[in-house]
Amino acid sequence: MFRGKYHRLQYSVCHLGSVGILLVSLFLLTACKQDSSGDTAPASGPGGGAATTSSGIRIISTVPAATAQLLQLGAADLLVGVTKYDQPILPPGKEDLPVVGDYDSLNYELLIKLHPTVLVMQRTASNISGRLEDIIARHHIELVNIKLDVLADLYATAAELGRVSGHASAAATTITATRQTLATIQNQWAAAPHPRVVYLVGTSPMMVAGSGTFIHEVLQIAGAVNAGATIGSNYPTISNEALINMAPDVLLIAAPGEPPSTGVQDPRLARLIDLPIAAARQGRIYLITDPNCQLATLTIAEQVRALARLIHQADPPSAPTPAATLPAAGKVPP
Amino acid sequence: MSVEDRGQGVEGSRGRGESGVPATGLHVVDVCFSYGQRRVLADITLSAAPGEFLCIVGPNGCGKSTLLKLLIGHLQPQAGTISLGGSALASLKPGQIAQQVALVPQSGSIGFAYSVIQVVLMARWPWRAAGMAGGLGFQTVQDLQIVHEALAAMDVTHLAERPITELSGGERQRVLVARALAQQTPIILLDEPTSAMDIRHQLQMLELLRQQTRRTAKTVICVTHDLNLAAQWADRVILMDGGHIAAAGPTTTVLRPELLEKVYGVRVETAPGIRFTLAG
Amino acid sequence: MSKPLNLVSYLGYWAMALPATAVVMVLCMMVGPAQGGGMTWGWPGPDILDVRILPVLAAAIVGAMLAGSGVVLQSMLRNPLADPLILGIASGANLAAVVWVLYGGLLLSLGAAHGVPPILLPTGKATCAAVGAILSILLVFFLARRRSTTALEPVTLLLVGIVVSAFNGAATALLLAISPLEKEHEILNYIMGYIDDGVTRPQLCVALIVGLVGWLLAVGSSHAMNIAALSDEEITSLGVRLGRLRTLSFISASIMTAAAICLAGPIGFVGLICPHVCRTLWGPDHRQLLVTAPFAGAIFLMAAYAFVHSSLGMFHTQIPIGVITALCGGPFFLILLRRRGVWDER
Repeated sequence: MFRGKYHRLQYSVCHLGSVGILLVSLFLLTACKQDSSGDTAPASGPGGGAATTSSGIRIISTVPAATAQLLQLGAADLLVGVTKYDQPILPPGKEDLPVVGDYDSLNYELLIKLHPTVLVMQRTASNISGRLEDIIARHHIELVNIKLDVLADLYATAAELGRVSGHASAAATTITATRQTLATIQNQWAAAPHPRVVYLVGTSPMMVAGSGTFIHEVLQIAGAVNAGATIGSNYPTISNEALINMAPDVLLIAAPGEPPSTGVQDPRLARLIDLPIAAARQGRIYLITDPNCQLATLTIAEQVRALARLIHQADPPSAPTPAATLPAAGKVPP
Repeated sequence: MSVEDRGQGVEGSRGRGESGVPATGLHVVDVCFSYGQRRVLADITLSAAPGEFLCIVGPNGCGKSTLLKLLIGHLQPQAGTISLGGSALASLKPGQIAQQVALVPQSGSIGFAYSVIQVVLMARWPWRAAGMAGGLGFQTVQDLQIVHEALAAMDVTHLAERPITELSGGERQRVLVARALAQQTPIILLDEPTSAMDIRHQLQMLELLRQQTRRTAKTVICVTHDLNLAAQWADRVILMDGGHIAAAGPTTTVLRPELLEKVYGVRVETAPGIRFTLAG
Repeated sequence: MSKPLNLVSYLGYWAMALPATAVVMVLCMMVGPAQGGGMTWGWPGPDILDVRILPVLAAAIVGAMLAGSGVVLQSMLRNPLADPLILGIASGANLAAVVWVLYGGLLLSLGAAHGVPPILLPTGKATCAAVGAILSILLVFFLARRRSTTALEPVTLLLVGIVVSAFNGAATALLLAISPLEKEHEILNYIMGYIDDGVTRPQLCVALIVGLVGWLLAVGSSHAMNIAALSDEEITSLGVRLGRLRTLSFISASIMTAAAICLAGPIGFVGLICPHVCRTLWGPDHRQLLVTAPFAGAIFLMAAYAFVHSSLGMFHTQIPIGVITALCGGPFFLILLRRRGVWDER
């Protein structure tokens, strides 16, 4: 086709040009497709569905514990976006909720497309980027930045979530009931001997629940001494020897969502069963397999009751007062 | 057109063995070598008899260094044979080759700071190692004696415990020659051995090499750029050009101005100039 | 140092290294975390003895193996900056460990369901990591081979190692991104390198034996490794089979590194620094280096472990051992380099 001195160059340009045009058209096609599927009206946005509530509240939760609490408050319909860690607790019919991000990353584009009215996060103030603040301001999103370190935080968070989801009274009721139940449990076990308990949130490496965590408070309410508090705050990593130094009478290991323990022969306990600690000698090493055991949610009162029974291996000295039943989170029907 | 070198050596040719391969000396017959598609050496035939000082000269890229690598068995020729001391090179194990041929490389910079005596001791490996491993291979008293003699011969005894990375270029070259001497092989190959040496040490080294050829009948093959060195010291010269041998024979036959002009592309003159010799 | 090594001085190095290591081991056994924070000092009672001795031994073995393999690799690659973890070995181990953490249970049950005899299934993260390291090594080996006379060229090996490392790292990051929250900590901690407190006697024995095999292979070619510092032609001219030497070195280094990774995650800096320090102090003879560097590595890592183990009170958590090796190793190495910079000049 081309002749002359520069025919090779002309062929190359021709080839490159056609490839380039092909790529550009492909790009435009896909971009167009996206634009037509994304739109401005919330009703046909992905995940929101026609079931947008009459209150027009759309909540995106980037904190699994908050998601659990919202489900427990009966606000499942208001959720339009969750994190990848929420899969196990979403009720049937809601498994397709889009994943918007997690505790340290957010997909801003998806965030905007979902037209949320409330965004729940768990970040330090300095960790909220200017971009995010921009988006929040421009799209009139209410930012609910929660803390969930201790029980007081749990109550505050539940109240906040209740407020933004329009379930303020339900939240208030549940909080009061939870407080009462926990106080009752604490009273029940107050006179009983308090064993030394170590609560491991991880085994490899060993991470223990220290002071300043809700697990610490929960253990105290359940009538135990949190030996892990002597190490430090939050969740420090420890060695075998440090565990021995703590001399626990009971050893609890968090294993959310795993099959229950088969007793002291369970292979998951293999490393710990030989240690020279009272807990091993008496076979008082337990796996906690409740999927919510590491989340501070509104079922905490029942969890604490079960925990106390596990720790003391007995019923409480006096009859328990009936606690308010809560709608259970997750796939288990209430 | 390649020229064959049928040099007879200073003391004349020795008898031939049963298989027709000469029992001693180095013989290269019709060797061809290419790096991939690029032909580097074509139909090289040359011989070096014991007691001969042979110089190989030629312009850059004519294949001199490649020829040396073939001679130590580092590269295998695509065609032709090389024989050392009566056996074909291809049939010898690397340890056996190392007992026949020693190489003094061009500059050899070492990344680790071995001392001079440790470097020269490396030459005793082929005489000690049993197979590949060789294990810990500690040197014998005899090894140390040989090494010290070699160091003395090359005038580097005072550097024996200095790290080789601290030496100047010329000192390092002398150490490498000492290593070749300590290897006690009948054939020594040298690649540009005098490039960094001062005049005194150049002359000393060349004089020493000549003594080795006369007294112990070693064969010395020296690749060099220095035509004057070749003219003064070599028994025979081989002139290479573009992978072929352009000329081979006694110095006067090969180092003729018209031949050199053709090969190097530069005008040369021989003139009775200043000659440097060792006094005393 | 500058004199040639003979049997007497060789045994002298052993005589120096063994007691020094024993002393350091005893010292490391005597420190531990105290109950209320702070450190305890003193020989432990029988209960605690058992708990302390195994990780300390593990630290010694890991340090020795990493340092030994560092010596071999630095010789083979003719590069004093070579580290056992750069040839894709560490990243392969990481990837395998992450796969185990995420899918180990699944793999085990799959294997059991198909009637695979239990002995063939990886019995834990450590074995899986070792398998991953070995697979990665084999990949690098076969990619770096050429039909030339010298089967493994240093530069090719380094480049292939970097590429394989990058690929493994990307795969690991991908798995990390899709991993559940509880597993993330375990994965991250492994990647930063830590001596597993729960290491068992059988694990130690296996690692020690495997490591010894690798070390013996290296010792067998240690004299040839000295010659390997020269250029390719010189090595051949001295009668050393270059291809075989490089292959043996590679295998030996890989075995030693795999043994180390089997016990602890990839701990950096040990394999780089200890050979250097020994080379600076006692010269570049590999016969001596293969004695002094492993013991130096053992001492270094035992000391680091003792610090990490007993400083629980100070930091209120147990910091990963890789942090200590990097923090301490770096400045120490710089000081040594400044004072005796001439030793490793090119």
